[in-house]
Amino acid sequence: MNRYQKIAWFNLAVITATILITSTAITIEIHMRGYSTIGPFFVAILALLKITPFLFKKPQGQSKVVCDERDHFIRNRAASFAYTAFWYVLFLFCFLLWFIIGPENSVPTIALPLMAFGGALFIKTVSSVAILVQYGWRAKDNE
Amino acid sequence: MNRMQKIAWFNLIVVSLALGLSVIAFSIGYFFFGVPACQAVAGFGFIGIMGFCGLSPVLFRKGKSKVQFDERDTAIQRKAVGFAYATFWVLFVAAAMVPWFIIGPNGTITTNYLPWMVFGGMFVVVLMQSIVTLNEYGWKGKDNE
Repeated sequence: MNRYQKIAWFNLAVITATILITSTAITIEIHMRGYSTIGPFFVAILALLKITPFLFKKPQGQSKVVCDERDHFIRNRAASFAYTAFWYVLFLFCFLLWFIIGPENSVPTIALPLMAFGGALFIKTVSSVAILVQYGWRAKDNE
Repeated sequence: MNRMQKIAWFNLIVVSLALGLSVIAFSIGYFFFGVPACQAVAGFGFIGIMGFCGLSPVLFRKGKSKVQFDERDTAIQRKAVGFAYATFWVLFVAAAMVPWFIIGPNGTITTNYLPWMVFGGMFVVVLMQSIVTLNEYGWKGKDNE
């Protein structure tokens, strides 16, 4: 498995774990107390996404190839696909909400940062899946 | 001028026209006729002119006998799309966080803000993609480069 496959798998694992743990914590807290204040803080697990350069270091040494044209092409294609998918989801979400709630009503301002946060998670997930689809989901002799 | 340059120029003109006419219509309604802002906003209906951007593949058809797209064109298009979406993302996060800070986490905002974010995003993406494409190719024709 090459470096980018490992990073993509790590991203998917961290995002999945965050969603599961945070949902579980919020559910348990609401069941016990009727409201949730501590559960949302479990999203801090996503901070692990920023340490991938340290966990998956680039190959050291003069004879090691870090990234070739194929890797570059795959990463760009994955990013392009992720942003395109995000655009469709954003369009659908905004207009569905506008139709359902109605133009005369209003939404809580907290919905806007949640959209940005959800969008970032969506892009990261789709980009990681796109990378794994293009490289392959498993190791193939360090392709 | 090659096909991508022509499409980029067309998109730039359409987007500028849509935004310009919208602002002019709103300004005339609000400042000249004294119409309330909530009604003068109807002037932004001119944004619909941006729909003509979707006609560019039909207006600027691919030729049949020549090479239309090579690796350089692909690289330029990817660069333009990447830059456009990177700019859109920064502005999208700003558009999401600024109302939250100003109004406060316990406040509310009109649902009309959501389609405005989408249209604003479309405007930014088309504008930046066209500008980057023309910047990479050159703003004028160069013997069909």
